[in-house]
Amino acid sequence: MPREHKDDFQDIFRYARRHGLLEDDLGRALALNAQCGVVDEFIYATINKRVRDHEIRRIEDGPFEEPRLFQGDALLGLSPRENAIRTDILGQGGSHVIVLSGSGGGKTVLFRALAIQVVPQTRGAFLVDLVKREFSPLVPHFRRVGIDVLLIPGRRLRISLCQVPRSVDPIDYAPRLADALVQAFSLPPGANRLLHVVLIELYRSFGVLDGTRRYPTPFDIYAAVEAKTDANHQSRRAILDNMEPVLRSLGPEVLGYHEAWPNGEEDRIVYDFSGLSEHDRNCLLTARILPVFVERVDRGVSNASGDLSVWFDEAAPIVSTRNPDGGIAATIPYVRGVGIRQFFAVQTADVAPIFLSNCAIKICGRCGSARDYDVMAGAMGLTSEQRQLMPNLLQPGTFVGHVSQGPWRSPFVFRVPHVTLSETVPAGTAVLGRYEHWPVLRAEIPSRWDPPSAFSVHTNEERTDTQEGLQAIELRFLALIVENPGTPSSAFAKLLKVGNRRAKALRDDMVARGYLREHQLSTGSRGRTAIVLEPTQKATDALAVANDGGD
Amino acid sequence: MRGGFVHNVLIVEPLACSFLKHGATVIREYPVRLDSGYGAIDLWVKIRDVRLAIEAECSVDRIDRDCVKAAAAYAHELWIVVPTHRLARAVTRRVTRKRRADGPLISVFPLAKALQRVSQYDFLLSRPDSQNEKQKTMET
Repeated sequence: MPREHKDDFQDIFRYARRHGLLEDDLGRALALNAQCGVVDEFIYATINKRVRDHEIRRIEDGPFEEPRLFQGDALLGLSPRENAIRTDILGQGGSHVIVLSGSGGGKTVLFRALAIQVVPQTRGAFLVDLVKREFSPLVPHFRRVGIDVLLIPGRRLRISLCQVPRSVDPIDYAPRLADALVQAFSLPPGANRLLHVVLIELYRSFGVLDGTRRYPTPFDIYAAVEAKTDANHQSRRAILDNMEPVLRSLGPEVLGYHEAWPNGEEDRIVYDFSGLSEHDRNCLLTARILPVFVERVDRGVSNASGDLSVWFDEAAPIVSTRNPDGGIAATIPYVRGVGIRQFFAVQTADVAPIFLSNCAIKICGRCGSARDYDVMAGAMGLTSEQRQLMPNLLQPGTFVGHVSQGPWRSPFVFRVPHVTLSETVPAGTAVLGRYEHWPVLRAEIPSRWDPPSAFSVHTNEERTDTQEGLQAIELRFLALIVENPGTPSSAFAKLLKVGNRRAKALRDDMVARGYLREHQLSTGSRGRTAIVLEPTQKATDALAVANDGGD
Repeated sequence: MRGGFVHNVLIVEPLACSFLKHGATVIREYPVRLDSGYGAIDLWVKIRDVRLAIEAECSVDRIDRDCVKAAAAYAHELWIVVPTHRLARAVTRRVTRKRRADGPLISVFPLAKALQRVSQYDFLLSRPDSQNEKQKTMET
């Protein structure tokens, strides 16, 4: 073999091994010979050809090499050379997944494609529609292929927020629940101490520490905090102010149970939280997901394969850097080892570092800003050349991926075929399965928390005066008109003790809304007329309702 | 009582109350027999020997019928009370065209003027001579 070939053979051989060019039978045989020091022209020529071909392919492929990810339980997509890219998500080497892509980038299509593959392989799955109903259309598909998936809208849940997981000590659970509630209700950090104390006291008074399964409700927490007038004022005020809207919004129908549904980790459930406020969503997520995480960690499960997948579409409220520590974010470093795989889809790079650090599979689609590209490029370890190419390369359905475990750790490009779902699921649809008749222990909730009648929906024909919400001055005005029939309208300003302009505006408004009718009447001898107001039946009914309410 | 808010509450009731204060006999919806059936006079007032038929109207449409009812009830006077001066002028024009020599004395007032007339009770002291003779003829 010529001397110059001997000199550069080592570089060529190293290059070939690094890029996996000797993985086939012939390549392995050649490598074995080379390692034993047997290098002839045939071995040199063969390996050199492979290296040259690979270099040419690299030039053609650009900065992103063709990935060699051929094994795994999930198909991510197709490489530029139409090779299937597979990776391990659920296995012991599996990991959480985060997808960042702007609107229209194809992240929902990718997420759905992954969910269709992964959910049937897990014993349990929580697919959470936080903003839009992206997972709900998958339910008919799953059911058609024999996968039993439930669909539960947020307001159909039956929650016992303080329910302690079975294998967990209530004393240990209380501080974690307090931290989660601080995050769920956006409370100041010091409020967790007050909540911790209140929870322990409630557990003691309800007998939970002695083993009963009759848990306090959030309404009991509210009442206990309200009664603690000697507590830190800021924390107490924040808890009361932030909890009240959630308690009124979700109400006893969702939250008023001493014992309610189990955590459902053995079910595949789509949670439809679209249409709920941020705090309502956080409260429900805390109640459904935190017990699962805590129970598995406390059970001592370690390095388990993924048997529970948790999916968050539009996960910005969860992964945002503005969220305080605690809650779901605090559990992400621990839950991979207990068999939980989490999937996050976000539109911007406002992602707390803890999520980027713990998601070994990162996928970036078309983004809306350079900052988003910069954050993901840094997290995925892209070269400057690769980063520069991203805005031009990434179009809807094309992604840059990085799998930091397994045989291939370089970033790669792949595309996801567009899949359309032909079936739609109407809003409000519920498939409750075994939970429909699940026995629950309903709590006695004070009537102050009963949902007001104004929350019920009526057509225009059914609306009554109380539902229109007449103000006190309007009711007084109507009462004066009924008591003083035939009185010119100008006299009511004085009777009402308001200015003439205000009285006129009030009169015009009540006429426009159908409570009054105007008539012209001559009340003087000089030919001028005055406006006399006639109360309509609507006004009479409104006064009757107001009087009944006051009785 | 038939009629709407203006008819009943704004015109008839104040007049009735005003007459009652002066000691008159007031009958609401006084029935009258007509050739075509029965009718009702909104307010029938009798004070001493004077008979008043009072009709509250919000338009000129029923003026003719009011005149017929008042004549059938042998009223000395017919007051047509309307809400506004403008309507009073319109009713007056209609009444002038239709007035009968042997019918009751017809007066058209806006409400304010009607109430003023009630308070000036001197018209109630005696009736015109022509009406007296007619009444005597009827009684005999």
